[in-house]
Amino acid sequence: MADRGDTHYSVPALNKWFLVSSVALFASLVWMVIDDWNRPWKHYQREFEQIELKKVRQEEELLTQAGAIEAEARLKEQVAAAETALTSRESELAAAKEELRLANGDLWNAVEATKKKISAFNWDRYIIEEERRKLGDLTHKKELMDASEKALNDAKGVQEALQLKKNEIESKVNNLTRVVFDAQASLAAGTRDLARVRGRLAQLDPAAMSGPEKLADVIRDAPGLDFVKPSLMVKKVVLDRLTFELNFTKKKRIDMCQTCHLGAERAGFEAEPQPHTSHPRLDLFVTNKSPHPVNQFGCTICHRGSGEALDFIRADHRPSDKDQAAAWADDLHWHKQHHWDYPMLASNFTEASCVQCHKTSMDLISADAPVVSRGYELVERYGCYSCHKIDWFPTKRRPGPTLTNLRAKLSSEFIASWIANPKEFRPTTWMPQFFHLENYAKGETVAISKYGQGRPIEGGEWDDAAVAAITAFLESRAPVKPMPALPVAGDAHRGRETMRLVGCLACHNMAPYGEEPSPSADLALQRRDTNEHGPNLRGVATKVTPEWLFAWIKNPQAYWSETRMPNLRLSDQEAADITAYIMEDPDKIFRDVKPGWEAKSVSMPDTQMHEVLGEQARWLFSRDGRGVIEARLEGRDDKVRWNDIGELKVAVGEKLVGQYGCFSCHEIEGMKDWMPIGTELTNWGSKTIDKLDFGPGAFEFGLDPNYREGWLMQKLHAPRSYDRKKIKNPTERLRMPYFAFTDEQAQAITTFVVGLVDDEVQLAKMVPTPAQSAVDAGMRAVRQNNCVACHMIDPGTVTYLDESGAQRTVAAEVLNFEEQSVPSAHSLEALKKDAEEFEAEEVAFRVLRAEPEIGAKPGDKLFVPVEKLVALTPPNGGDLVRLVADYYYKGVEVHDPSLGEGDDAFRYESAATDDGFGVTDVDGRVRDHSGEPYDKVRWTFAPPVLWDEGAKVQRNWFFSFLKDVVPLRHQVRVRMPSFDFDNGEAEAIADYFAHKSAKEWPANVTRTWRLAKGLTAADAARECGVSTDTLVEIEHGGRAATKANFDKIAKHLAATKFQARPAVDPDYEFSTVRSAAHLADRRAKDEAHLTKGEALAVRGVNCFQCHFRLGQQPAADPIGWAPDLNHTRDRLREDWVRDWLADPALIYPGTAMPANFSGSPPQYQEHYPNSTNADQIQVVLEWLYNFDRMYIRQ
Amino acid sequence: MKNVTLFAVVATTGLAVAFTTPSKPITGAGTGKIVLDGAKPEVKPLAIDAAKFPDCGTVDTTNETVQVDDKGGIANAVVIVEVAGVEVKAAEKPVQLDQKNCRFTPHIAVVTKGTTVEYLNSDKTSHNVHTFPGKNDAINKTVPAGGKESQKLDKEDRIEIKCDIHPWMASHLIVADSNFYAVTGADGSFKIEGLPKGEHKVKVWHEVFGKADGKITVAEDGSSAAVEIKMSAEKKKRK
Repeated sequence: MADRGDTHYSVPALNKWFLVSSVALFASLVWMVIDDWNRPWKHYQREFEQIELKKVRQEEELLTQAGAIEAEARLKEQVAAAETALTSRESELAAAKEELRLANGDLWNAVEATKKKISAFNWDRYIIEEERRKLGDLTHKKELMDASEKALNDAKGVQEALQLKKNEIESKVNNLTRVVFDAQASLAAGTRDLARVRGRLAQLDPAAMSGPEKLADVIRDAPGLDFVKPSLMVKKVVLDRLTFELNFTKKKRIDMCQTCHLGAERAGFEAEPQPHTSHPRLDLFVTNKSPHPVNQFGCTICHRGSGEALDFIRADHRPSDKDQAAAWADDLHWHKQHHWDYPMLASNFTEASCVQCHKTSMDLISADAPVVSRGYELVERYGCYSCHKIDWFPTKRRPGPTLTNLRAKLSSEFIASWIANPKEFRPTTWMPQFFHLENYAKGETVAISKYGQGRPIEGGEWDDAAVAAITAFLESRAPVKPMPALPVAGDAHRGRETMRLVGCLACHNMAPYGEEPSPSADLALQRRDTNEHGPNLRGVATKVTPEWLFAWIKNPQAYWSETRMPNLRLSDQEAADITAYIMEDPDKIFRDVKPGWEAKSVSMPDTQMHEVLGEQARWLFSRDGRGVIEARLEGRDDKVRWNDIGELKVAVGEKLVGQYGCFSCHEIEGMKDWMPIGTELTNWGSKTIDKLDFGPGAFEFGLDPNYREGWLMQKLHAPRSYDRKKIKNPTERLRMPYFAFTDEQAQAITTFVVGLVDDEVQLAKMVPTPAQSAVDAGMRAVRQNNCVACHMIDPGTVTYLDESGAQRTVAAEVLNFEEQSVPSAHSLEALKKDAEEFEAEEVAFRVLRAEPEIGAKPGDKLFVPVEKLVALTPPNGGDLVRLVADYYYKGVEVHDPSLGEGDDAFRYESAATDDGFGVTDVDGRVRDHSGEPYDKVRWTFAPPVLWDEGAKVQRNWFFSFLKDVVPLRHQVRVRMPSFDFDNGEAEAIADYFAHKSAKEWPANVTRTWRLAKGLTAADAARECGVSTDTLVEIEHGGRAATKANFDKIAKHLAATKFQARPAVDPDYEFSTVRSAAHLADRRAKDEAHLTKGEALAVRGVNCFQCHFRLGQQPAADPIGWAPDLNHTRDRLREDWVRDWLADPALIYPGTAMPANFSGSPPQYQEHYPNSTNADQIQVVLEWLYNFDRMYIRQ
Repeated sequence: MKNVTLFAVVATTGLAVAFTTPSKPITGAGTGKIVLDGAKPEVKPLAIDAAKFPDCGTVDTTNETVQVDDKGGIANAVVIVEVAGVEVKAAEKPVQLDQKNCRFTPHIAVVTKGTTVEYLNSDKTSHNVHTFPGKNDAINKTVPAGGKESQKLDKEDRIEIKCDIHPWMASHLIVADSNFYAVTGADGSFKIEGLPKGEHKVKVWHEVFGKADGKITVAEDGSSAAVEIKMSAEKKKRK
């Protein structure tokens, strides 16, 4: 168009501009579309495809190397051969098929004929019966009726014959074609892995794709077309039941995390970098087989974060520490999301989420969620719950001792020093430090006295005066009750032995102060989880009076009804001996205090004390009004005379106790029902960050403070740090005490507290089965009462590589290098060091459970080359066993630096007062057992193991035993304490062991059976009709041990006549041989069965050489004693006794009880002619379970 | 008495070895004595209340753990000579360990690898045999009066044997990886026949005094000098 000259612009120039801008606009449009299309998650998905392709190729390679291709060719050849074989018999097959066709025709004819006869017969019968009814003659037309019935039967006979003929021909055809079918089936089975790999490769491998296929993929994923059916897709789970709160509405969770985390639900990607890594616990999470499948639970219910985000930053990932935060910021431009209330939990805090659904079963999940469970235990042990309410917390008792009677125990000086800083006296105490912390620091002004008119009062004197006031107040609430004198004089030497042997040192240690481990090998001087259950006893003689100590160890509950310390049923003499040992302290333990520590009262002139406490009173009593306070202080008030320093101390002390909440942990007269003072923690984890007071303090601990986790870590490590740089009046200052938590403890507690969230997941919450509840409550009771200090409840394991390179884990104990029958408690490092020292190339283990994988039965030795060892896990419990055994072998190891250096600095003292060596036996005689084998001492004198206890004892007996302890093994000095259990706790423990054994039982029985038969897992599984995976899982006590699965195995076991113990049913008391029916039946067959049992037991085996008989002591010394057989019928499960009689060492390897009925040929024929070993066991069992009928009722 | 029985066993086995050696190279007898280095520890006789165990007969209360004569000779020490290149032969007949008058007889026995051991009971009362081995399988079986149990011992080992019914009963069974061994007599002396020429390592073990080492040399003509091996009187370290 020509320029008409009537415009102010040049059209050609404008055209150019149009051109340029439209090109630019188009380009930006293209750029926009591409940018929108090219999401980061697509990049991750392509990356994952490459990783997977590599893995599948590797797998193909491995299969090829293993000869899979040849195997396939072989199998194909077999199919071809079978087909050829069939072709060669084609005429035969054709003839057979023709025959079958004809037979089918004949059969059809016969079936039709039969149908007609049936109709005819029914019609005839109807007519005839009608006629008979009218005539009243039941024999009318009988011949006709019989003839009709015969015709029908004949037709049926013909049909049956033809059916049989047809079946025969059919099987002939099948036999001809079977070869081909079988060959095809084995081809499919033998190439299953190969087929899977090839199928996957066809989808992944570009080399395997044709051009059109590749093009199709490009088109499917093209921008604008990818809504139809793209190859790269967003993966999401929609969770209707699990909601979260968004702006006051409940919203379903939609988790798209797996769009990027494609490897999360698949095993085999453990070593790949994020986001492709496999979930670390696929047995528990994500997969459909796990208890938390992703399609029911999603991801954000545990991890938190924004599930709908498809971008690393918007999903609100959170780093575990500062280094990771810096690395993310560099590589991924990571920064915090500020508008999202549910930031993802850093991976080291993820376990926090377990709490929201598992509140009712925190103990049950302890093995799978170790960090949060540890936090839960610490909250219980340190008593956090008593100041900070957690409404569902199962423990309610006050964690600190009662103070209602403390003057019977402690001096004023001790109370004051202890309150000022308990850790100065006992660094390991759970009591925290309340005074002289940073917001009351020395030199820092707390307040200007007299309403700002007086002098500044600094933190040091403020807290000193507070300590004096609290001491005075507590004493005022605990009247002096004189303790009775000791009824007998004690002997320190005897007391030392008693203290070692009755079990005090199961819960208490006597470790020296400081971090360095004790140079002594004495287990009582080393700190372990179990022996820190009670306080460290070092220095205790400087704390208490002998009269109090005597009364306390005689009956702890009398002083403090809620104490965990059980009653050991000590005699006056025993208690006096222990008291003498502790108070006289010959071993320099109980009067050893931290250098520089001394129990002393607060030293402050009375005028200063009055001034400081007066100022505290002004703050604490401010509600009463200035006039009243000043009148009291100046002595102008008739009733309240605060001019008297004593009265002022008590008054201020009471307020301070209220302010610091001492009554939450300790019982104090007059304050028993007061409400706890701390912030409620029931749903602290849901508190939004803006509700936390961060203060201007520095954050020196752990994480970025803008996390709940970071805030809490700081609070736990430096509880008063949020007061820094703030001006607060004394009643507003932070009061949380200092616990001296380690990083590990602080992190565990933080994890637990962060997990205390609002209940949003009611629908997904775990509802424990009755069995799970029983186990949970039992585990808690076992933990709270420290049962594992004395009793081993699970054996330890060793993991090693066998000759084929396969990794094996076996329940076993390490045996000592010097004396191979002695088990030793070793860590892997210590074991390797010892092996070097002894120049041992292999380590000996004793197998403790049936292990079919390696063909070992309990008691077998296992020798593992040192370099093949992978891991050792210690047994669960039984620390006291070693301590008791040590006493029998070497007495007490006394560290005496005056003797020399190193190993020379120790002397050993025993119960024997002369030069000899010995231990006082229960009969009062001192004997030297140090020459006895370790197994003998362990099984005879130490606390019993409780592995599989539920299979051994009757549940109701166990319950009553826990309620009211009856000594069973009269030879032991160590004593099962009386715990004062309530019914609930005793039931929980009894049920726990019963359920534990019930769970172990399918595993044990299956393993034992397979071991006995020498079958591989695959063969055994095939025999039983379950999959190999299922069988293996059952053998390991896994989730596949369902009743249905186990019934299949049990049925097969019964069919093969394998003698397996019946399942442990916790509600079922097991004894058939006592029943009247059984006895009547037996009497009918063998009148003398009970006397045979008696003859075998008494004259053959001579059980009473070792076993007590109705309280009657056997002839041997105590080391040869065994329990009273009169307990058997009430105490033990009959099926267990049967196994025990057959081979005791299979149950407790090393026990003193011999195998009595294992002779080949069977022995004792003179007492029971022509009997087998099983016959003998049967009659002895009957004798044992009818002991009362034999001996008591007569 | 016991030592005589034991010598009979040892001598028989030794002879059997000597006879079955195919080509007859020059061999000699190693002799020597095991003596205590230090003061003889005091041992008390076993405290057994015989009246409580009428079926045991007269129980010998000799404490066999430490028997040292006036010249320091240690009885019941086990001497094993390590000779390379000689095939270790198991005894052809089972070696017997008896329980008689509620004591094990012998108190210390040595057998070669692969030998079958029979545990007998010559008493009127039942005993049990409870073994505490290092490498071989542990057994714990009742042996009724007049009964018998047997076990083949395949691995070199030191096995403590107890009867739990009569706690004082104890014995040690050494399974040697050598044909050349002896248990010392009352004066601590030993004699081992059929040693090939050359210098051999000697290992000594005693249940209380622990271990000691020595050497024995058999000359070209088969003669050898008597050796004296000392054992420290210090008690072995407790477990």
